[in-house]
Amino acid sequence: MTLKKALMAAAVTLVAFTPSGASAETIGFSVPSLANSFWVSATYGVQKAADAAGVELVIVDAGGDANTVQQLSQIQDLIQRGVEAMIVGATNGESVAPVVEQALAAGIKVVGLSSLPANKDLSATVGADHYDMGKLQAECLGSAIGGKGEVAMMAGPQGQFWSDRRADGFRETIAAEYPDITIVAESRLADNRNDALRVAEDWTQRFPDLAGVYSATDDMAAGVIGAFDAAGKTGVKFSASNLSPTAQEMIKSGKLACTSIQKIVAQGTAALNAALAAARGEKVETNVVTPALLVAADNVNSVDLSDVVAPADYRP
Amino acid sequence: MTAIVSRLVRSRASVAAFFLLLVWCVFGLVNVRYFTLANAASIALQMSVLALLATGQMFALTVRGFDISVGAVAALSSVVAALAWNQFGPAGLLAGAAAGIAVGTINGLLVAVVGVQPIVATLGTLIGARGLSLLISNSGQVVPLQSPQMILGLAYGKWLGLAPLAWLALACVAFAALMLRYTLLGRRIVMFGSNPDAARLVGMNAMAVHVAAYQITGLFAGLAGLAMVMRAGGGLPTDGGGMALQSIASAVIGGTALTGGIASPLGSVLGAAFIQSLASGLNMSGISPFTAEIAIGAVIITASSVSIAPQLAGRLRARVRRNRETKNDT
Repeated sequence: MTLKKALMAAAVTLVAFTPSGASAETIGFSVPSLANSFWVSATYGVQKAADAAGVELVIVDAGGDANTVQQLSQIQDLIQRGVEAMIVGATNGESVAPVVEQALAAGIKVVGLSSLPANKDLSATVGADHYDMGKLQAECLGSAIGGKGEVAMMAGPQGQFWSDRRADGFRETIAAEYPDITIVAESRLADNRNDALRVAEDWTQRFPDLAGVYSATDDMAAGVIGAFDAAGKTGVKFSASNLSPTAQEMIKSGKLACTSIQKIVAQGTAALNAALAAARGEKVETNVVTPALLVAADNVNSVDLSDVVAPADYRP
Repeated sequence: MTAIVSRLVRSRASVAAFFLLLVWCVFGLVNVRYFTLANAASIALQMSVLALLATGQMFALTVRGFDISVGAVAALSSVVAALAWNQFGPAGLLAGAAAGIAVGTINGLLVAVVGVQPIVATLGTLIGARGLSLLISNSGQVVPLQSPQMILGLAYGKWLGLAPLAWLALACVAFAALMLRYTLLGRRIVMFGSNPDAARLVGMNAMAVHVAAYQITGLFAGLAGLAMVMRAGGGLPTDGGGMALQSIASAVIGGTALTGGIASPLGSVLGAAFIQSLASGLNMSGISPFTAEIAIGAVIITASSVSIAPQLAGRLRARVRRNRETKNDT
């Protein structure tokens, strides 16, 4: 009885206060994890572009790659909100595909950012040129060791688009440009600092003549360098990808020859612009690939990071 | 007015109903798209996993326990169900529910027979279930279903306005409610929770009843795992983090007492609906995700405080009475 009364009161209030519809476009952004510096930088790019275009941005955060069910619910909320377009960084490409399909069926344009939902009808995809990130490492490491000798690859997890492409870029560039360099080992076992340390400890014994080591990420490189330092092996050169504060330190101290990086903020900006163009029915660049950059000791202090990382004081 | 308030506070499920209504009114005012049947249907689907977990949790709470393993068990069940589906077809889903019962049995034996504290026992099975999920799923990779279309239709199709999965979840909760009210086991679980010693004295097999409560909690965690499979089209080995605590919050807001002996299935569902409605409203409002989390925490604390207010008031009254009696004695 009291429930019924309260319901009726609510209904009356609603009718009285129904706000008028907003006019500017609303774009949704489903982020897998804002606890991850990559996604904070991407979100900064998306936010910056949304502010510049004067559109409303609705950000939802699944809180971790493990929280797929959470992301499914959040994408449902964006559908209910009636966004004109949404950007999706998937916790898991296959698992979010069914709900993204619902968004597409509701006429919402979807742009995939970096970690792509496995749907066919995305308006655009935005990501880094991971092949070039591997290629830049090959060129830097190749010349650092003088164009000859043995190198090993800490290539990162098997079957991940980014790690596979970076490894391809490195391997093929070495084969094409440095005929005197041989790749003696390629490990797909490690995807973090500790595992990389363990694998590299083994390498210090098995390959005494190693001249250089490729690492798919800067975290793995930190592990690799730790192992070679502990074994007292000096003179080995290291290259990596990404530019964490640790990587910046390792470059400044000369432990790391170079690192190839992706323009994460630029990816966020490109994703928002693609989503907006799709929502407005304008021409969309369907496959945006941001170029890779190389950071070494000579430019680590001068490189323009505004397209790469969010400012330290940015909070999503 | 005071009569209305006191009646609302006294009835178990109505606290959750009141907060649910409040959330709907507030967000309805902020966003016209919120107060719609389409969004209600969307929330009914979103809350299916939490509603099942909360209903299961209610059984553990009723026997004065906890089960913090339910999220990990749901993830494990989803992987088992997906693997079995790919091997044996739709009948394989039963294996997911069976996995839930199996972990529930271990929890029950640890708590009721061995006498381990529920929070410690279920923390152990939480970690174990998580490890087992990683072991059987190729180190935490999602296990995709072969030909998932049939099962995805349950989550994304419509029966009478709601997703079939939402109806199925409600049916499971209704089953739990009927079971609690009308079966011998149901009555015994409530009785055991309200006074374990008395339950033993009247000659029931208290230990078996205690174990059974945890088995039912496990079964519902398994069913929640199946709901995850229906929504994602695969087994999710690493999912379910934070869900156990949300399920406890849902049940408590719904009027189930942490002190045992009181169960409210309707309240548990309304509690889950309240938490999901709040999350959805915040998601749709576009405020910072960090601020949204703080808001969810604050509102859950408020709602659960209100729902345990009658117990608190009762305890205070009892203390006052005792004080007065001691004074009179001297």
